[in-house]
Amino acid sequence: MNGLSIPEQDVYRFVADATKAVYEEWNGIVAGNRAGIVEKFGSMEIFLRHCRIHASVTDAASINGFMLYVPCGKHSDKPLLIRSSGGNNLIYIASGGVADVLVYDSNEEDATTIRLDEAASLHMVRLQQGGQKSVSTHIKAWQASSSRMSVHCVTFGNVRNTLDATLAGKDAEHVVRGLTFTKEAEHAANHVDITHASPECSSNQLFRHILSGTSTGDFTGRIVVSANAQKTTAYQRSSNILLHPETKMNITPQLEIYADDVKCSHGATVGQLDAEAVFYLRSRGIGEAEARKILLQALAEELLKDIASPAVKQRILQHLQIMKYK
Amino acid sequence: MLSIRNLHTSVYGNKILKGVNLEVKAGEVHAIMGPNGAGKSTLAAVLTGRSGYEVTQGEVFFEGTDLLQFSPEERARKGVFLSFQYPVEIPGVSMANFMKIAVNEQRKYRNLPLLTASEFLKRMREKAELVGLESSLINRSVNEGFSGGEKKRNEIFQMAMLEPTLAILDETDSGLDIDALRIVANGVTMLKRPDSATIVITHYQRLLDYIVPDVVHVMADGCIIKSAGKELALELESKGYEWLVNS
Repeated sequence: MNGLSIPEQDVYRFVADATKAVYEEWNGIVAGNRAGIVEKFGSMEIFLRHCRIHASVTDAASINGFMLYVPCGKHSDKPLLIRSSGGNNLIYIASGGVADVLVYDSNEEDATTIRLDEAASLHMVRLQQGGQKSVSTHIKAWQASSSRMSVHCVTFGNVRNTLDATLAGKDAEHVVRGLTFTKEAEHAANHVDITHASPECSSNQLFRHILSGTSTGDFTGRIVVSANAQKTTAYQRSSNILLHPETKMNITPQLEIYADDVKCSHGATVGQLDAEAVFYLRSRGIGEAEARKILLQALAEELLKDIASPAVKQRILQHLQIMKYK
Repeated sequence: MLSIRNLHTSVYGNKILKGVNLEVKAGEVHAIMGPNGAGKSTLAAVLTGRSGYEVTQGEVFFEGTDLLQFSPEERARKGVFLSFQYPVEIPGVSMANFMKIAVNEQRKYRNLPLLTASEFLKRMREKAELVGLESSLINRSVNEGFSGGEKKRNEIFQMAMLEPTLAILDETDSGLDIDALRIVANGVTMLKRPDSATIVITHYQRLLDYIVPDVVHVMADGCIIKSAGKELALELESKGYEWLVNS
């Protein structure tokens, strides 16, 4: 993606090039595409056995994209920058492992299965640029007890994202932030489905579409709290900005709560840039376009402020600044 | 410096200003007083280019050019400043960043060299001290979580940073306790220059104890109905507006 250059020394880079075998290892952490792993281990099945990935997690035959494996207790000293080439991917973080991942540039369909074992952490940032054809991603995450997952998804243009997360073990945490820009006649959809299947878990969703032109957006956020998931905390907010009168945003919050001792809330807003704030900035000598850009930047930054890796956060913010808002 | 001639203004079809005339010269302080709904804040809004205010008649000249043709930002760059009656909270935009952009936009317009980061920080610290704004507030988002008094002080801080030629203070005294009022007023007085002018819009005389006006105007029903020296403010304080409005 143009403008997204991070100094080599700040990250580990992995390009899931589908045309050749790729395999990388840093400090025990493995990243490879199917061909790369097969070349190294003999077969995908052998590799999955080596990682002790339970057959229920994924079907070895289905992985044709990239695979990231963080062994027990390992953590990367730098963020991993993964350039996806589409397909079915797997991210598996064993107990106590930690990974900081930035995934970008998948101009096609892409599905990622994520499994976090006990006390594993994954901080994932996704950057997507939809073209004429919609970029479509599906993340299916399964989290064991005390695992932590955060997803920051920054998307531009025609994008269709689905995130399914199951908080399967006690005290698991899932945080998701979605920042979506659309212009002209583009359409972006975000669907989130979070299941609290164990007690004392927390989930927190915040999505913001910023729409210009005649673009449209869709947000569907479902939270299911199963009967045994007592002491659940689950929040959802969809807060959107329509920059032009012909833009349209559909929001569907769905809460299904079967436990009785829970804290859950949802909220949805659709609004415009604060005209009073625009005037305030202009009254100090800042041009109208610049004033609107400053306010948009602030609205965008609100969603990105807790990106774990400073290097990744810095680059995403720089990327936003060079985007042309309308 | 500022010349307002027979200014008529409507807001959503309602006539608010009905022929305002006002002459302000460099070095002067003018106070505009008057009852609620007289059109004082409308006048401030029209002068700074707030949208929704339609000038139906009359003209405004600022330093010899027609002010009304310019956008709000152009007016600001030419040296017009408004201290807002209700300063706006802007979450996520830091005061420091906001002021840096504003100061440099104005300097660019005036063909002055842009301030370096260290010059800018030095200036922020000096001006914050001048108006008694706690320096921690500079690192926060614009007006977010500021008390009423801090917001008003922040307006005067911005005025100090931008060094306007014409400052319009719209009810800057409202919501201030007496200590804050004194600090704000002293700040305004210290910022006075021989080539600048100030218009103070207020309900009450008490601000004028600290910012001494050269001329006091009384506005009622969209017109300036009386102009006199600073003693008029005292007379208004004791007698109210009734005697003027009904005479």
